[in-house]
Amino acid sequence: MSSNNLRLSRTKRPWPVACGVALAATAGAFVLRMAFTPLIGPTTVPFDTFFLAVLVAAWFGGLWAGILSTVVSALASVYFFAEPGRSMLIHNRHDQLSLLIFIAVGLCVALLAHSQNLALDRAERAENAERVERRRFETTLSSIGDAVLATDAAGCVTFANKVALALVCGSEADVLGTHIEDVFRIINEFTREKVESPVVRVLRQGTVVGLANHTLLIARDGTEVPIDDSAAPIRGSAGEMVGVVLVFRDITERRAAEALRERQHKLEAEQALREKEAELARVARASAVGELGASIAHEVNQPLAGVATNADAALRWLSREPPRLGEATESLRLIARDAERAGAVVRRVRELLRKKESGANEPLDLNATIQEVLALARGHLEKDGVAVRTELAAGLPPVRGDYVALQQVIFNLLMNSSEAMAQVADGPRELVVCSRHSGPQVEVAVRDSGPGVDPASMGRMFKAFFTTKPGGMGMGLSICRSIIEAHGGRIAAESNDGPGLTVRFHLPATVEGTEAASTNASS
Amino acid sequence: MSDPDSLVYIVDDDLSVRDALRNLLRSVGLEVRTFAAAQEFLSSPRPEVPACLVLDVRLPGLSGLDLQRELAEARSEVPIIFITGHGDIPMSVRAMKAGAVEFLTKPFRDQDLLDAVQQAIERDRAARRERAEVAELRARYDSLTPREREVMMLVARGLANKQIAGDLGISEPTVKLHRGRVMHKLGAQSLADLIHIAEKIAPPDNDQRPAQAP
Repeated sequence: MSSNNLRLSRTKRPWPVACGVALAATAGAFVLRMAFTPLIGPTTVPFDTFFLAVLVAAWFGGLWAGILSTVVSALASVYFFAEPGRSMLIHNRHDQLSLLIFIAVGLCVALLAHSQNLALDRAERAENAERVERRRFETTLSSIGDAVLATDAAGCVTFANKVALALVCGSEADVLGTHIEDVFRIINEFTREKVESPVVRVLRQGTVVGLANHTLLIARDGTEVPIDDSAAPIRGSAGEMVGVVLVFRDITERRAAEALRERQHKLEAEQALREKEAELARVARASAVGELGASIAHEVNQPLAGVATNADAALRWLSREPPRLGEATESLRLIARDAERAGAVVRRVRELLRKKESGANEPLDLNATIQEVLALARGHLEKDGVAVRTELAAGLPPVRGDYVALQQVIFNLLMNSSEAMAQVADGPRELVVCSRHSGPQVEVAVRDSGPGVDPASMGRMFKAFFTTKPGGMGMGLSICRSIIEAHGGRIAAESNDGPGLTVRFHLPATVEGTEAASTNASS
Repeated sequence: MSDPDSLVYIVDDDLSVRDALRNLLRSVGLEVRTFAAAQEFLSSPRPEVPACLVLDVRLPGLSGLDLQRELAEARSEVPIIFITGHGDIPMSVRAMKAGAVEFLTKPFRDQDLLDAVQQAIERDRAARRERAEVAELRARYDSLTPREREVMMLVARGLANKQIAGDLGISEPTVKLHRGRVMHKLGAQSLADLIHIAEKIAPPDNDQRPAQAP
């Protein structure tokens, strides 16, 4: 029986209608019995057609309609159709029994119809409640921002909210009943390999599953969306898994925001690092200048001390009895020599300053630069007990560059080597400075006999902040590298066969210089 | 070539400093030898005269402090005056602990150096005299017979002849005889002299020094 017909049997109709139905049904039965009268006579089979009336009344009108119909039918059939007719008496014992049966059956039918109606009523209420619940559930899932897909225990989609449909680019018709793997296709963002659907994993493991990071959802139209998701089992009343619910969301915007923030942080960090480097470079340069200053002071101080002592000696020679004129004269000669030496240092400093003013990009002789730096660094090297040897190639072609900067490079390399060797308690402290002409380039090498650098650190030596010195800033070699590279050259370090390290840099020789050098070599 | 009365060695790698110091020291009548490196000094022969060494702390190659250590290892006891352009306290402490006479930081007054040099030479002269004296006495001691050495040590300990005779199991006149010979051989004038000599020649082990060739 269809639900429409069921609904017609509702007993919640107003009572006049129920009574009407009961009376109409009874009247119908009466008419039907009357119609049989020509065939069977007026007073036989008095009750049978009224069973129909009771049934119809109870069915459509409920308990009270059934009872009403039973009573009215009983009265009508006794009065009209039972022997003797037109009387409330029943002569026939058969009819008396039939009346009792009719009333009993009528009451039973009314009660049955009633209980049937009550059951139907309950079922309908329950169905209504479920429908309301379901509608609320669907409304909720449809209106939340995350995509939701639900599947049955086989993994076929049973529900998809709007967001989910939008993300997978499908209609409800496309999606419902389709296996989840065909709807929700995901790959790893980097390997681009297929990732197992979390639904499948939930079905296998029976636990809540979160998705790995970096997952891309491939929609039906091929667009790729980065997503974040999780899946959970849906349990039936007995705890068995009846399906899986999958919740996922588009994280494109979050990604973009994160990337933007990250980029900003990175830019800020880079800016800070650059400023720090610049500051350290300034400090390192200043300290190099300070060391250079100390060296110059020492260089001037030595001959001046000689002048003073020789002057004192001269006085002593003259004050002897008789005065020793020869020795006094010799003292004065020494004074003149030392004064000249001090003057030479001063001249060298002045020369240095002049070249500094003359600026960058002048052709310059690296051999001369090496000699000048060595002369100035002499005090420093001596302090560390370092013996210096030079192997400078004759006829070295000039290079083009910033005199002061290159001087600083050489000075830094000398200081590094010297300080490295000062760490060595025993063993020779030898520093060798070589220059040579190789192809279109000029090569300068500073070789020391210090502790060297372990091979693992060799690659990092020229990076900022790398240092092996206890108080070192790790800027010296990094500054050297930036200077050399700014001159179009390169700088590298290698371990010696014996103890120590060699730092070597190449600078391009000037074209004219190279030609001149090769002419000299061939002539 | 006759050896001078005294000698000053200068080791400094700076020509100006070397020449100036030589000139200064010669102007007060001192004999001077100069060296530009520690190794040069070590490999040159040194006459046996009172001397001192004026040494630059920072030297290329073997440093001044290294040289001081090497000299100590070679038991060469020449007094050292350090000079330095970059003196620092730990270094000077190290040098003085290792026995340096003086540690002068440039610029120093010339007179300070001269005083230090004079003092060092005098110290070396005294040390040499002391060493020569001890060597002479030891040679004499070595010429004593074993019995005479026994008698000498007991006398030096202050025992009377009679006690010595008892200790050694010999007669008193024999002790007297030995004692007279000991006094003669060591050139001691009195008992006090003898005790003094005994202290000088035998500080660590009392009576049984192994006999050494003089």
